[in-house]
Amino acid sequence: MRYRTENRSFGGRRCARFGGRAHCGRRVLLVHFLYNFEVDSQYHFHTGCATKQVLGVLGLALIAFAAPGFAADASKLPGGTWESIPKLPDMNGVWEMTFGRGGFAPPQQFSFTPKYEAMLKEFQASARQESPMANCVPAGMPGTMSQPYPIEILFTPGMVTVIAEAFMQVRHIYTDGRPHPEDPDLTFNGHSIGHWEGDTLVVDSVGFTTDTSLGMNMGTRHSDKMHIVERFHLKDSKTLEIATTIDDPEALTKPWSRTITYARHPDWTLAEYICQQNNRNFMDASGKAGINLKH
Amino acid sequence: MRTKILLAIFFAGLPALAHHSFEMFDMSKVFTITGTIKEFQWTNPHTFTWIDVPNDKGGVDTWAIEGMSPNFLGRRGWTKHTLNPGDEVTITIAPLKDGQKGGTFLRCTLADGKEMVMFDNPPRAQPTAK
Repeated sequence: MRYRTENRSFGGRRCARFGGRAHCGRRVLLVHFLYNFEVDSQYHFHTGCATKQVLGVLGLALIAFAAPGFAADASKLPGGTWESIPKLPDMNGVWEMTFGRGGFAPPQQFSFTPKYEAMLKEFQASARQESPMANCVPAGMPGTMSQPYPIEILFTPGMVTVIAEAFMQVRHIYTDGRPHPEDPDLTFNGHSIGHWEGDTLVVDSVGFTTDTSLGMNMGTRHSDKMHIVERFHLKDSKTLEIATTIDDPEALTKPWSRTITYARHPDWTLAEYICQQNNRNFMDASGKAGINLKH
Repeated sequence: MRTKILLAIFFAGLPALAHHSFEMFDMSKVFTITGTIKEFQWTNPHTFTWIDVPNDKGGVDTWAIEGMSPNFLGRRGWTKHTLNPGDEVTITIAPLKDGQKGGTFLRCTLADGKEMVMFDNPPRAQPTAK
């Protein structure tokens, strides 16, 4: 296998591949076949080789035949019913990042392609210093998971919901076996699907807008091909670790990884966070930080 | 020099605590201001403390000090009543670079001598800074 962590297009279907397994709902084996086929075909599925296109269409038809609607047996998947949820590792509740572990990475930790390295250098050489977050625009992924505010995790049948207090963000992680949309709309937090590997919830996300960045300012950019894999694992009943790997065939020459540790706070509830309530910070048109002190 | 290095290391971690960069604050200066609380805004994304501070000319300057949010502080012993209009307090700040009477809130000493911090182990005022 030539590629460890990549996004590939399968005749329009986007599948994520990592850790030696392909993930596209539960159509793993067929996707595996198609994946190998596509790698061997040098990604020319959609670029004009008629024979390969026909084979691609046949392959997709085979998938449709072999794997009827994902919802049909979603209840048999881990966490597919209320009864099965208590059998899963108990991640329900309120968690806060333990500061100093993980979080936003300094730019030098990313291995950017020449184009994105040039974008970083241009940013650093400019007067810009700020992120749209100063104007109350949410961070988007991966920043949604590394804010200095708690997150709440909720398990319901077929879905894990992550609520981030900062900017009041909600991530829906579908664990009912559905694949990613073939052509997802590009959003701040992407489209997320999850499955269980033993005691680890593996969350695969694609479909990100390029309005966001990998870090605290807009110097560290990513493309709309960004692909995020998060492995949620309970280190103990009070400690959650999320190991995140990001690959981006346009922006990064190798995947970037971080692990964030969260502490459980059983007595906490999430609070309201309306950033526009009294936001006196701003990023001006030139990208510089400012503050409004009118009383 | 050692103090400056320690401060630099400390403030390098600060962006993770806020929704904006700390570029606008002068992290090389940390000093205290003492005055009377005018208003304590217990609001997101930041608390703002308005404090009247006597100046050298016999008048009063109103300073605006940005602090952590109610969400963050409310889980660390603060309430909307921690600072009240009329309270005499001393606040340790890193000032704005642009010369406005403002800064970022690091710690404070209340009228009864109790010390409150914005986050773990914020820096103390440098003896020479002002």
